[in-house]
Amino acid sequence: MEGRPLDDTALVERARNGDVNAYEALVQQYQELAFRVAYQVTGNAADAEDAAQEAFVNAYYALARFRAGAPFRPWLLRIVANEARNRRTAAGRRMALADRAKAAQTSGETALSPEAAAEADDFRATLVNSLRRLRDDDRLILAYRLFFELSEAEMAEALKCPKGTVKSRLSRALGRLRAVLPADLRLPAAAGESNG
Amino acid sequence: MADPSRLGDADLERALRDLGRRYPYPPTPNLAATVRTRIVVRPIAPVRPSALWRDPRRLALVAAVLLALAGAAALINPATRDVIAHFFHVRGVVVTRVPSPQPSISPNPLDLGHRTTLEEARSQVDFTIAVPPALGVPDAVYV
Repeated sequence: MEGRPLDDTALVERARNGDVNAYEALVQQYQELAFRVAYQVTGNAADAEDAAQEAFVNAYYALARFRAGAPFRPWLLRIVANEARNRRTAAGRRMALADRAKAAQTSGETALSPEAAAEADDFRATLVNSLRRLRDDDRLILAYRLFFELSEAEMAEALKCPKGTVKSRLSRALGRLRAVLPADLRLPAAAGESNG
Repeated sequence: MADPSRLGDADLERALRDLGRRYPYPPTPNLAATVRTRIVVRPIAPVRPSALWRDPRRLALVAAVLLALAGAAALINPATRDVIAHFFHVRGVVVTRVPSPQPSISPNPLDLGHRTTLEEARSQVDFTIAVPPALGVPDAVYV
C-alpha cells in the first residue's frame, strides 16, 4: 500500500527541486481541468491539448518564480488560459460552433420522456452556443465559477484581478450572457419540475 | 404578471452549473506522459533554500532586519543622532562638544570701590555706618 498522497504544496516543493516524478503527479492531477479550461477558450480539442501541454511545460520551468506555499491550481490555470488564448484560431471557433450544437445532445437523462429529453438537450445547446458568443474573459469567469467551482480567491488569482472585483465581474458576465440568450428562452419543463 | 417559466438569475446559474456537469468535452488526452518526456531532457536547477531573492516575504524580512540594524548604528553615534534629531525637528538639549571646556564662572573682580578703614569711611559718608557687634571688626571696608 502506498502512503497518503502528497498535497500540492509538497509536490510543488519537490518539483521545484527537480523531482520530475512529483511534477508528473501534479500533471496527472490537473490535466483534465487544464484541458477543459483550455477547451473553453480554444473551442477545439487539438488547440486545447496543445495549449494545456505547453502550459504544463512552461509552468515547470517557471516553478522557480512560483511563491512557495501559494495555491498551485489558480497559478497553473492562469498560464493555461494565456496559452489557450494564443492558440485560438478562427478555424477553431467555427469548428466549435458546429460541434457544440451537436455535442450538447448528450443528456443521458434516461428517466425523461423522449420529448422532455429533447427539450433539455435543446436548452443546453442554446446555452452552449450563447456562451460561445461571449468574449473569452466572460466565458472563462463563468466557467471558473459555475463549471469548475473555483473559490473567489482562486478566481482572483487565476484572472489576476483584485478579489473584491470577482463578484462584480461575474455578475457582468452573467448579464452579457443573458443579453445574447434568445428572448423567448424558457426553462425546459423537466428542469422546472426537478428544481421547483 | 410574471411569467413563471421565464429564466431568472438563480435559474440561469443553476442551468449553467448543470451544463458544467454535462458539458460535451472531448476526452482528456494523457498529458502527463508527454510533459514528462519534454521536461526530462532539460532538467531545472534545484531551487536552493538560500535563493533569497525569489521569496518576497523572506526578502522583506531580511530588508527589515538590515534597516533596523542601520537605524541602531546611526543612533549609537551621537553626531549622526543629532543630525537625525535635527532633521526630524526633535527639540531637546543640544550638547556641543569642544576640545577644552570653558569655566562656568566669570573671573572678573567685583567692583566694590576703594579700600579704606572703617574710621575713614565714616568720615566720608553722610549716614551712620552700623556694624553689628556680633560680627566683630570687619576684615575690610570699601567706599
